[in-house]
Amino acid sequence: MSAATDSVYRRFLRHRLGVAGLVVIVLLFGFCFLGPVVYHTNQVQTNILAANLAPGVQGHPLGTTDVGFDELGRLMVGGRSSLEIGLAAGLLATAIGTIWGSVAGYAGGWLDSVLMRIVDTGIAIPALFLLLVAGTIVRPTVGVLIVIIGVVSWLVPARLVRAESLTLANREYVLTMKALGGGSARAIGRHIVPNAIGTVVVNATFQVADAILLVAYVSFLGLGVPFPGTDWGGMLSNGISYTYDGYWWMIVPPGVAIILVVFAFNVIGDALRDAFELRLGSR
Amino acid sequence: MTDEPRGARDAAPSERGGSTVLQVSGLSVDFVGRAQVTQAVRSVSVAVERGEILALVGESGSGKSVTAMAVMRLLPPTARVSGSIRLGEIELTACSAPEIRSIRGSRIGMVFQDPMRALNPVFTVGWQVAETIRLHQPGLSHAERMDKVVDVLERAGIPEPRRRLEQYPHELSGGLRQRVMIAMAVANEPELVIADEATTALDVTVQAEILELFRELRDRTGMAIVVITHNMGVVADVADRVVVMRAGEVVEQAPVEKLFGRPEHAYTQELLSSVPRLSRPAVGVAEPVRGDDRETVLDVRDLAVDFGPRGRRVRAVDGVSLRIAAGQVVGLVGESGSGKSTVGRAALGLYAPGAGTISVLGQDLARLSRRELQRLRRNCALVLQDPGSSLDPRMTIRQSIAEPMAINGVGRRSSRERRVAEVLDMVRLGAGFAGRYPHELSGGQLQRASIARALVLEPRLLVADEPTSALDVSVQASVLEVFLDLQREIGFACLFITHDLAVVSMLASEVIIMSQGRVVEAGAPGSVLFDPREEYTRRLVAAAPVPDPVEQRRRRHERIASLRP
Repeated sequence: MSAATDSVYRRFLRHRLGVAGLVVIVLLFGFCFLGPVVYHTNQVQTNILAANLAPGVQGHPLGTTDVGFDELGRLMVGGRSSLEIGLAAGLLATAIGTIWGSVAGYAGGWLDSVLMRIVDTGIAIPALFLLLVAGTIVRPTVGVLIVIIGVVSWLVPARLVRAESLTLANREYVLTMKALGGGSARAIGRHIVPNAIGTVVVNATFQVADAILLVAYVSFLGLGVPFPGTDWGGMLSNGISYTYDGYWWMIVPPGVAIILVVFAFNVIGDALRDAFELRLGSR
Repeated sequence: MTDEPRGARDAAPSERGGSTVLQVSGLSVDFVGRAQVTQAVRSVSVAVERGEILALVGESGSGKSVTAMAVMRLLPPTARVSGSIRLGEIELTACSAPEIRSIRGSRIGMVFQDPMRALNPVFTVGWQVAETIRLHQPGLSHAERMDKVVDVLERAGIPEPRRRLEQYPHELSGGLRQRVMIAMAVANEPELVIADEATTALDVTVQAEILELFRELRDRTGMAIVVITHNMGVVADVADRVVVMRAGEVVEQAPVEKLFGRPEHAYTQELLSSVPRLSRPAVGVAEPVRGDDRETVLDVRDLAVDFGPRGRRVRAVDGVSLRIAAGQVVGLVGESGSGKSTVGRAALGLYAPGAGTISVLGQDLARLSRRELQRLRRNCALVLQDPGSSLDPRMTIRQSIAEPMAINGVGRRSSRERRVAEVLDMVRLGAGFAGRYPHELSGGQLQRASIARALVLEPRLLVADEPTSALDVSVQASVLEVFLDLQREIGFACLFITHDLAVVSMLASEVIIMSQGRVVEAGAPGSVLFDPREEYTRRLVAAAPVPDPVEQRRRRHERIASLRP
């Protein structure tokens, strides 16, 4: 396996845009998780006296929010929850979807029908609606948001993997393996999922990007991470109230951050898609 | 640049009486990739005369199809073409895109390998044939055009052409579809038709009819036909002259009888000698081993297999019985759709039978629990046709070959590795291949690796489903040789499924002929293949072309005579 992973890695590095995306992600993570270590701000206690300051005033490089939090420091704290939720929820959704889809595609027959009708039903209900309902029932924390977003967004990967698994299940090597006495678990674990891994990983990056957006939407609607915590979507929502006052520094930084992270995950996905094509460009 | 060909075309009609239709000289085609340049065709010179059927022969990668595509100017933009291709007086390499379009379909017709993919499933047959006529003879009225379509379909040997106009491709059989393709190719009475592996996807009986159609069309219209094929039997049957290609170069050109009778180039000789021939088995080997004294490994009785949803079940296999003793190779022969693969898979319990019993090593599959069935399969193995998909592309050859051991918990890591190296040696690949991935191997090497995986646990029963059909002849010969040696050495019972009568005559001690899900005839190859009792078997044997033009001509006349009432 190591040789294959090795060449995937090498081919990924040859993809310039993908590498740029990776660099952006690493920088954003550094900014959010290491930033507060060097740049200390108070993100718990409000300070009305320092509210709505423009960038550069009183030693706040990006200004302050409507309750006097330092905007740059807030961007770090908010980014932390955005990235945590996005990454964890995206991976959770991918994991559920992969297992669900590969089982359905491999099993076929009535099991496939039942599993996929469940997916169809889930897709018919708007995810945002589910999120809002869930958000009013339980008090949203980072952990809760991860589970909720993960649980509402596994449907698309499930469909994708099922389609892949359907064709892979009829490959001759799967048939040969069955003729040699292998069972379903081996077929799915050893042959179907590894051969669908390209689709899975590529989709996972899009899933992470989508999850970050979804957190942003939910927070924008006021059901995100509770005060004094925040995330980029929540900051954006907060800033929107002051659009007509010209407080752009409350809108542009979180907006740019969201665009950057989503774009970066998307180009990484594209680069991975190319890198996983085992036959392309090896040797 | 545009002036020259146009002037040339005006001159062309007077030249049409001339004998050379196509003159390719010094043609080279390079594919320019990002990293390297691949030479696909190297200074090929070939001429095709009026009324001639020229066979372009070679194994995969020989450049034969690329040469044809270069003539049609259908190569992808990454191709760099040099040299000259003249159709009559027109230099095709210098034609503009609109000019070449006006030549394609009107002066050069093309027939592709797979008629299902080359025909558009959403249009009727009549519409598609009419389209090629509309493109090149726009002046015709609808009625005139439809009359022409009917006429062309009739010329292509399609019965009831009026009725076919409204039919869709899926309503036609494979042979009829290929006839429609040919009708499209000849609709505008081209002077040259290129048939790229046009009969490869067809069953032998249908192939014989299509080849007959080519000869007829040539005789009637005097068109030149270039037949691209890898099948030496087809060459012997249809060609007047043969061009043998290898690795992008022409190695030999000769009239067909000379090429088969006295091949000059070493490669041609090798190619001809590796074609499996329908041969009466030598006495001794051939004696039908009924194997009554030996243990029965596979016993199938009155097997029926159904497919499809409840209410619309289709019986794919009906009433098939067969018995294989230890060490015996039984050949199961049939055309596509005969149910031969289904029998093979059912024998390993991969399909549940609708009726009848299957016992492997004395155990009735229907009575086994899933666990017991999996345990029984430890003694079974399966080798399939497609080298590209029989090994998991994400596993190394070592992992794939070790998989049967892993499934059945045999051995430890080090002993497994030793065994993998051993079987790789047995199939003459060598342990050096263990660390490679399937895409780094050629088709023949992949098929050997598949055989190695099948043999790693020393199975008692092997089902081989067309294991060499996707391979080039020279590769097929060496893979078959390895296979036969190992069969003798290990002594497994083998159900060998194939459509190739010659291959079966080489290795089976008993032959079963299947058609439409039923057994037509069974017995020793010497009697079934050389003295068939059943009409169907007789037709099947007669239709398989032999790689010998003189013999093939005799067989052809015999076959045609036998078909006439």
